[in-house]
Amino acid sequence: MIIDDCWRRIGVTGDRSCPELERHIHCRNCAVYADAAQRNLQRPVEPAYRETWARELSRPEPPPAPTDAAAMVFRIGAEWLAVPVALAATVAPPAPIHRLPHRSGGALLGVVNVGGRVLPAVSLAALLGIDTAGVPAPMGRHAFERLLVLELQGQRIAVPVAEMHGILRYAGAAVRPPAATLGHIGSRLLAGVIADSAIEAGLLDGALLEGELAGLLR
Amino acid sequence: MSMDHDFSAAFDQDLSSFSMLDLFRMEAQAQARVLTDGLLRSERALDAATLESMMRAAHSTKGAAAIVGMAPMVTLAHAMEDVFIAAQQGSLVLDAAGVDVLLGAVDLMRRMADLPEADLPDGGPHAAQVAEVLAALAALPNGAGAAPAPIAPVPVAEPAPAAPAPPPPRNELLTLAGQARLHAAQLRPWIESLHRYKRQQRAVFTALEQLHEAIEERGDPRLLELARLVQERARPLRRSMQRNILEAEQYERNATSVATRLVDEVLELHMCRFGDGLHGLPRMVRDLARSLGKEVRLDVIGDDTLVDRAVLVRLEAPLSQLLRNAVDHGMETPAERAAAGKPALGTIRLEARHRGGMLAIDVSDDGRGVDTERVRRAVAARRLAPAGIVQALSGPELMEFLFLPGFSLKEDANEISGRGVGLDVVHDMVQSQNGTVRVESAPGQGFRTTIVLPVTQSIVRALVVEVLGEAYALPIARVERVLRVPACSVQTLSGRQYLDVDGSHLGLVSAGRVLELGEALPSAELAVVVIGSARERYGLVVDQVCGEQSLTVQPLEPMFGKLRDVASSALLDDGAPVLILDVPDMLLSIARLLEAGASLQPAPGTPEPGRGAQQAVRRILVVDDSLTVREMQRKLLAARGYRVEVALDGIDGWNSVRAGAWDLVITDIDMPRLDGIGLLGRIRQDPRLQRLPVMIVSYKDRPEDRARGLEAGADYYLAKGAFHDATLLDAVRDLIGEASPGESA
Repeated sequence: MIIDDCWRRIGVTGDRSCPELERHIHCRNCAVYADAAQRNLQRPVEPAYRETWARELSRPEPPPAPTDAAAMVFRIGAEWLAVPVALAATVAPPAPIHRLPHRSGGALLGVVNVGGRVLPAVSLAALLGIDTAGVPAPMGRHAFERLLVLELQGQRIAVPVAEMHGILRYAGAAVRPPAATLGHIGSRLLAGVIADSAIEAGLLDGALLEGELAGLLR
Repeated sequence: MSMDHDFSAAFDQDLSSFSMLDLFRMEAQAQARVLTDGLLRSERALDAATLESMMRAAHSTKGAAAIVGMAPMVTLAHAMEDVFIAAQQGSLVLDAAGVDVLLGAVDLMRRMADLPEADLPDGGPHAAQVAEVLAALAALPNGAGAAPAPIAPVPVAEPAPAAPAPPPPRNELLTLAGQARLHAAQLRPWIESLHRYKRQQRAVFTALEQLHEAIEERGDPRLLELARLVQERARPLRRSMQRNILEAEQYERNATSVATRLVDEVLELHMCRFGDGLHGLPRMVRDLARSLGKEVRLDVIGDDTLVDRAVLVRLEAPLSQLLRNAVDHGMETPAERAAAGKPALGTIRLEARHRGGMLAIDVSDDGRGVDTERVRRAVAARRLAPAGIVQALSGPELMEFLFLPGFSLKEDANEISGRGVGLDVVHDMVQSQNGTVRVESAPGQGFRTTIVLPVTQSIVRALVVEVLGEAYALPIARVERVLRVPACSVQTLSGRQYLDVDGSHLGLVSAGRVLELGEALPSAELAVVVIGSARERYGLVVDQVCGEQSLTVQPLEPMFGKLRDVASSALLDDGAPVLILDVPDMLLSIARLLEAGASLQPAPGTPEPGRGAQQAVRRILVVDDSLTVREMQRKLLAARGYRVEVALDGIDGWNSVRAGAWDLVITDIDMPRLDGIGLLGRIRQDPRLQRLPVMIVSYKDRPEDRARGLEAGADYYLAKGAFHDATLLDAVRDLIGEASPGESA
């Protein structure tokens, strides 16, 4: 069965000399094009092709990698980071942060209103030494700044993040040691690197983070 | 203080989670209160109803004690019941001595109710006392109080433990209610915008109308048809807009009123009756008066006035101090009173009421009062004011001196009052609650103290100001006045800027600099908030005064510890956070910064030379409570090029240590609030400060002092005598090097 691909010769991808073009403007509006598509779909399938697929589909699916932990993934500057889900209390829209007298200049940004409660706001970027200046906006998607509220021993702390990714499930055994790619940020707070097909994030150590934040606020 | 209230309060709760013993303890405390109130009442006038209620209380206690197997308590309650029955029958007259014995029995009852379970059957450590009290009770009906067994006087200082109080309501509730009210209030601007939209719509309709008329004049049938269509389509828009606005306004009214009621109800949860916090006071007054041989009665008026629990708790100590003062200083002995033509029984009135949204508490007595001339003599004797001024002071002005720490008219301090911790305690407490206190006295007639406090601490009336674009609030009680002055009226005297206000100099400081937030832009007009007292008054220059507002206070997260100059936080109507300033703390900050030679001037002076370059200079914090030592160290070190700042005591020092990056801390040991060893301990426990070098400079130079300092983690211990040679500078250089890291020794 031979299909005449006239759209390649005289149609929109060819020299556009087809007289039908004046009426249809684009080949996809033309009956010849639609007819060719129909015939292509109804083409008989070769046995070898069918067998290849039958073999492929009869193979049992590999079991999914077991996951026993979950982390909340977010972006600071250009770095994707994660905290154990137990530490993430809620995510709130960004709000103005009020500085604190005598305490300016460090990672402690001030206080911020989250749902009617005045919470301390801490810059993880400053705490981890991540440079947020001049990081371009991500291509192909909208990035929304958020306040990630962490809960550490009953104490809530708001952390401004450039964007939230969501919850990532991972296997505790599959946590890789901090890689060289993340080596330049405050790696002493990193417990390791977790990843799925979509994203790779530095997992922060909950206990160390807690200690660091408590020290910052005191 | 009706007993019905006590019982309903105790039994309204869900009691299923309490053990039998817990229930017994609660009942015993409640009954003890009924007995105490009844006994105090019966001392004045014994009536059948009071006797009846006391007898019932003793009887109920007996039954309850039998259930939990507390034999000594059963016997005790039984003996008390016998006494009341005898009094009912008239075979016994309850006089003051008898009441003493019975009150002693009630105290014992209370103490026994709190015994651990193992001690219940035999009374544990109180067994001997039970026997003693029983004997005294038995002696009453026979002797009719003629020879009561000597009961050890009830110690005044040991208050009976209170019944389990309901848990304080969570602040979270108030926060959420406040948030609901805030959200409801945000509907208002939205409705305003709807109204604006409606006006714009009306203008569009008018224009359409004109267009329509123009088309009619032209008579084009196609245009006429279109114009008719537009009119038809536009007509319902008007009505729907109108309807939407009405609905929105209705919704806003409902939401606001519900949210406001919600806030009010939550606030009410924080409230309790004034009388509920004062159970111990009538008893204390009675015992105290008897131990001094005086006859005094305490009348509590307005005991169902609602008061914030938190306020009431803080009121207890000052009120008890005022009552002690009244009994001890104010009241005369019966003989003196008779000579002055007054009834032998003195009366103290404790009155609480709401007045203009504030809680007003009056403590007045009909004792001898305070002689203003005696105050005048005491002021002169203590040289608290120049002699000429002392003579010119008016009565009310003299009364103010009574609030000074350590000021007492009583020549001999005794255990009751007059240790110099009298009215100043009251004054401090009232001020910390943003209230005012006033005393007045008519010699020979009595003495009256009036305390006015905000009814609640959850809502604070505050002046909202803007400092470098951010909102701060000052409790309105702390603001003396607000001024708006042209920048050109600021004068300069020996480097300090001030304003001439009503003939006196008002020193100006920039709020941004005091709070270390940065520099404000110069403006042609200055907004000045005057804070402080007559002795120490400053004009705080802010960017803008936004106005007075009621703020729902949110305590800062406990994790913060104490933030310097900040008392608490709140939210403004638009949801932005506002920090409520701690004015006394700020006055301290200002004094400290001025003393350290910092420039707090609001008007732009010459910029500090090379701030960036100074960062490289080593920074030293000097903590010492002595001005002389502090200044000497500062000058010595500053002369060597170090950048030096000072702190007035350990707490102040700790705040500074945490707030800044230091290369060295030099601290004294003996300081108020937190001593040097304590400061050192905190520094060494903080993971970020562990390695910060700390030097101790102290008068104490015995080897054991030195050992104690070094053991606590000091890097160097220097005796203060060693200043004059270069020991201090050498030690500093050894520890952290020369002032600028670039130079080497």
